[in-house]
Amino acid sequence: MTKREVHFTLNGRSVTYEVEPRTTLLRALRHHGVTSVKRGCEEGECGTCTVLLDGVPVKSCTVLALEVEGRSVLTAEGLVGKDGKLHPVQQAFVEEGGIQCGFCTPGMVLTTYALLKKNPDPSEDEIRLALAGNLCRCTGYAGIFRSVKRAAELLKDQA
Amino acid sequence: MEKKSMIGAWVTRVYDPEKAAGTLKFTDDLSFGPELLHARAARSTIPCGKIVNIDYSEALKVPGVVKVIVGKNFPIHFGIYLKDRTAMAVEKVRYIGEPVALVVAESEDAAEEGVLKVRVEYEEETPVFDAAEAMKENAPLVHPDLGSYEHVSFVTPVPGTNIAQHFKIRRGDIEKGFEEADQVLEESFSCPQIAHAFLEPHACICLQDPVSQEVTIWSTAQSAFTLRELVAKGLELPLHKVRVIAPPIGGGFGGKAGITVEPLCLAAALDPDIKGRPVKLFVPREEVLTTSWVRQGWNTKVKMGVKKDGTICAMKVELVFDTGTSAEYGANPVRSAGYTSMGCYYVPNIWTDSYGVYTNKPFGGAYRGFGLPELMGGLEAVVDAIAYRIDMDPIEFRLKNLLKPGLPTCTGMPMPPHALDKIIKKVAEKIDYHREEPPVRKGWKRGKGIALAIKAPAMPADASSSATVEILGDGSVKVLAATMDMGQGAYTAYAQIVSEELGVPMERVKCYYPDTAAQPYDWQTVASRSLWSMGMAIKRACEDARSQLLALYAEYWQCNPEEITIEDGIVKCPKLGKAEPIDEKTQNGFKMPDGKYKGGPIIGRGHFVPPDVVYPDLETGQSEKSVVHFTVGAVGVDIEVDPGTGEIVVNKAVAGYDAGRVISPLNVKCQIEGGTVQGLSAGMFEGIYYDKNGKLLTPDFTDYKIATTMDVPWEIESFCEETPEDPSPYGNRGVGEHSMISPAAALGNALYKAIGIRIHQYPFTRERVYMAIKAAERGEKDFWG
Amino acid sequence: MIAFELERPRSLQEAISILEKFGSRAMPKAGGTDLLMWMKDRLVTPEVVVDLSLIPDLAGVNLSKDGLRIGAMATCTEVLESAAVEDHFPALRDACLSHSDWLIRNRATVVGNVCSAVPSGDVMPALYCYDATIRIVGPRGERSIPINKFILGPRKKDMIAGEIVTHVFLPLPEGKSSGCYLKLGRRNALDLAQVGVACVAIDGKNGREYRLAYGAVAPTPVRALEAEKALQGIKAPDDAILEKVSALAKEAVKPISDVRAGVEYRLAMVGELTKRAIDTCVERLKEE
Repeated sequence: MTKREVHFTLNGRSVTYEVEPRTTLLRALRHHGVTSVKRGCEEGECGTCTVLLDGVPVKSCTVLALEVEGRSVLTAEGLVGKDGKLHPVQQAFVEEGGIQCGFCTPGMVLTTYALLKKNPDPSEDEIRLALAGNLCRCTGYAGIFRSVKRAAELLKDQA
Repeated sequence: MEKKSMIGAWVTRVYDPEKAAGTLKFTDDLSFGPELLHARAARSTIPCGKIVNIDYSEALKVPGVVKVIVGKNFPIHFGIYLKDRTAMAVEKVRYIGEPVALVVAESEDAAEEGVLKVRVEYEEETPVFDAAEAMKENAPLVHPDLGSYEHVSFVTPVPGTNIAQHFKIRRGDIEKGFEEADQVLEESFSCPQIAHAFLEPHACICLQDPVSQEVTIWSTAQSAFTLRELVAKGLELPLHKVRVIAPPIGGGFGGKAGITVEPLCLAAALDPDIKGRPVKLFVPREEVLTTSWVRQGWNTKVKMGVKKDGTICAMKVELVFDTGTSAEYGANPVRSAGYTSMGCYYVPNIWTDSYGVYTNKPFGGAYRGFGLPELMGGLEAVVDAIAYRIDMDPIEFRLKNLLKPGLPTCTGMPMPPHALDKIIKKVAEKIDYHREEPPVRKGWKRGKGIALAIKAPAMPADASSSATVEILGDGSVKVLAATMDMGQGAYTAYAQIVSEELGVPMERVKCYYPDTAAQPYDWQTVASRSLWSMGMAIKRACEDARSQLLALYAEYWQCNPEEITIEDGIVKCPKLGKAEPIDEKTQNGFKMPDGKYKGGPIIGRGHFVPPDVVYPDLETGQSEKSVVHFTVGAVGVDIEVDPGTGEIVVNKAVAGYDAGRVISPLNVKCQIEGGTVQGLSAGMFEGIYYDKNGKLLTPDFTDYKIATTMDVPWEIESFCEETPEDPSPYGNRGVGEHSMISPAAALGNALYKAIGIRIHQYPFTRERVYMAIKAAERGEKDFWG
Repeated sequence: MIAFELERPRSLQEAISILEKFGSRAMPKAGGTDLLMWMKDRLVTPEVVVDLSLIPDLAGVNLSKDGLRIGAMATCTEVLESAAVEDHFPALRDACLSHSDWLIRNRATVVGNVCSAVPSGDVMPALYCYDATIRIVGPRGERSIPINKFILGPRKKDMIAGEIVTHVFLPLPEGKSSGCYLKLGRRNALDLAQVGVACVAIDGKNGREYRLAYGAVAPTPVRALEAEKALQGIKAPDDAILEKVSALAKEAVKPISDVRAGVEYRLAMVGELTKRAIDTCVERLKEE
């Protein structure tokens, strides 16, 4: 199977990957060491593979790597500051007990980040709706809901 | 100024930042270079029968496929309590989906393709899918060789049958007890198998050195040491030649305890043609349920006799656990339910039979709650039902019969102190149980229900823990404790303990993920035992390290150890006006006043084994101390039901547990939140189903549905009572599993209030609830659909 | 995952010639949320996948005086966020919102949901109610086909190799209208419908008319024409009428039992959700 190159921006850096056409964005990223993106189900259900594609949250197991040609991809690693400081969304999850095993966390964080960019003051219903595609088995979501609210506060303070 | 204790402090958790940043590596994230091989299983398409032939010649032709291994090549039996499990089917297959061959290739894609080309011929035999059917005489035997399997002394399989385990309680005079009763009620309830549904599927990498024969295993394992022990025993290797490294796991809930998928990976890694190359077995989501265990399906029958005034005089409990094709781990929840079958009540005459029964389905094992959700799913419903029968308030009934401290459990063990009566009243108050409120949603029906919970750590009498605590050359502390922190926050709580005992800031304390080459032995991270058992070991290790440090400083400063304190990493002797931070002397030794060097690295060690558990008698189940301790609690729910569709919405859920002294309030709060939702999700949505041929219909998340953000209350209210436990490092006891035990039962009780009919089959899906409502409209009181 | 070659044509012409060249060995891909899973499970095994996402002609949600054009690459999110859809085709908006979750909706396309032709597909019942037509280009040129003639059975549609659906067209309702889509799942998000009911109420030149379409309860989505007739002209259906209509709706469908839901329950829910959908449409028209 012939491999092809895909050029895109990953967390602000230009990268070139060599992939097979069948390689999903999820597998391509993981193969290249971007392991925050997880394979929880690879069937588009669990959301642990969430990335931001041109700022839009998508499940990377449903995207072929070659499709991100010329586009930008953001993962949880990309939200961390150059000084190692967590992004306020990530910080909020730490503060509010929104993390237990951590496997769903990168996806949750990215979806939350995308939500708050689009809607800085979401209602409870809007939070539930935005995160419905990110499953969590450990927290029961209570801590996650607190984290999203806290993240909204932190971002507002920053603004 | 009084220094605030770390015990009971609200802290943020260790490793959370790495999890938020996505830098924490799980097993599937590890790199092994181009030598890594990938394994994928070819699986049985029939539920029961002999393997006549396996033709993998075509599979070998797939580019990248290196070898195909079959059961005959690796027929070793593994098992923690009963060795009835092999990595792959050897001569017989016992369930659809059972691995029959392992394709090993240079890439996952090649392995997948190879699997498609494996052709197996079977001679089909008659399967049995239903546990009740399997218990009948002349049922086809799932394990005809049951009598030849090794097992521990406290597990009692019945050879020549499908009964893998039979636990009995015979206490008091059951016939007399029922004779004395004014009302006798017998009801049964059942539930299909359910899945842990952790977000991280199993993954395992194994490597055997061809020269030394040493095996290294990286695995999504809750219990590195038990895994090592079971592998060493199975492979007949000495312990020092097996190393298990357990990276952080993405959820366990018992599904990654003991030994799970590792034998399958070992079958490849140990193969003479493969030895020396690491082999990775990643279990894709749709294969999780057929590669490792599920929670057993169950049928719980409770016959309860009560006096007019509500006193329970007798109880007969029959639990039938459908354990699928293996009771290797599943034998123990059967016991756990049995020796706790009194629930939270004093029952003077109690007779329990708890069975683990084989069927030709994927196998059951450890799952959060471990026998207690299965018991409470029946018992707490019967308690409500009988209370109504005698016109008594269900809360009052429970309080009246409460297993007060000092009263005997069903094994005769005196119940230790607890505050369950307080918890029940508080839960009832918080959901306003006694006030019938109109529904918030127009046209819906509202109901409130409560259910109690109880569980003891279900473990062998000699489950031990050990830890070392090393004070490093700058006052940092290295903690080696082989607990798996899978999100419950163990390492955070341990850091709090170390901070408290050694007087160093929590941020300087580091707990490492398990590696049998580094940590000393700990039995397992299960049973809600770690903060109690390992906590004890860590506290003792700290005491040891601290006394070593103080002895050295005492000689160094020429004072008494009692005159020295350590605060915030500063060692002080106020009497002499001395204060200095912990430094390299703790690593390289102190130059003492006499000019000689003394000391060296300070390593404190501690260990703990529960001293006095006695296994229940195999005939009567009696034991003065059948378990180390009990944690009790209660959960209340306020729900509404849409009578037009059967949809349930939880208005409010409240849960309280007597956790003893709470060391880490954030941890406990999060455990209660998560377990309560896991219980509600199981109660409303979850079940594993098969077609009539035994083929799994719910292998992945398309059809195994768990709660999403749209299905849960916004918050779960939780609280703890803190009746101290003894022995215990700080008076704490286990609380990790307990919140999962009774939410489903509470839902059932609330449903009865809302729709006036008792549903005997879990889960309470919309369809089932709707059909039950229709039955209620026809005047029926019980629904079995 | 099966091995395949990926083509990313930049024009419709290019796409058509690739699809024509490879015939049944090629499949077009829009959002890919169904296709990738089908390929992973080997339900379909194309040798060539033709990604349509770079073709400008296939983008966009555009309202004209005649109606709404939904390009093949318009995602569920784009469609549900479109003011034109909210104003004129609310049943479609509801349907898109009920589809899976935000992350999937950001990739899954409305046209893709139609072309998957899975009986439980969420957008189709609404499109049936709106008398949508499917616009196709291919080696034989352009053609237009009503959606109910396009969908032939589970995962079967009236298309030949080389053809691509370019867009779906929804004529503007002939008068004030309201619409809704009610979905029955096992939980509140990310589930395949066990029953899907789309309802549209229009105050047209012939008076009040209703459209009722159902998904997940027959091999294809179906309109309940007898039920619709029984509602003709009735602006405030009472309980008796609703009962009659829901009985007629039940006769229009043919649900099966599977692991997701039993036939008895599905039928009962067809009845119940029909009533609710009609009530919702009636209320929404009142509010306008």
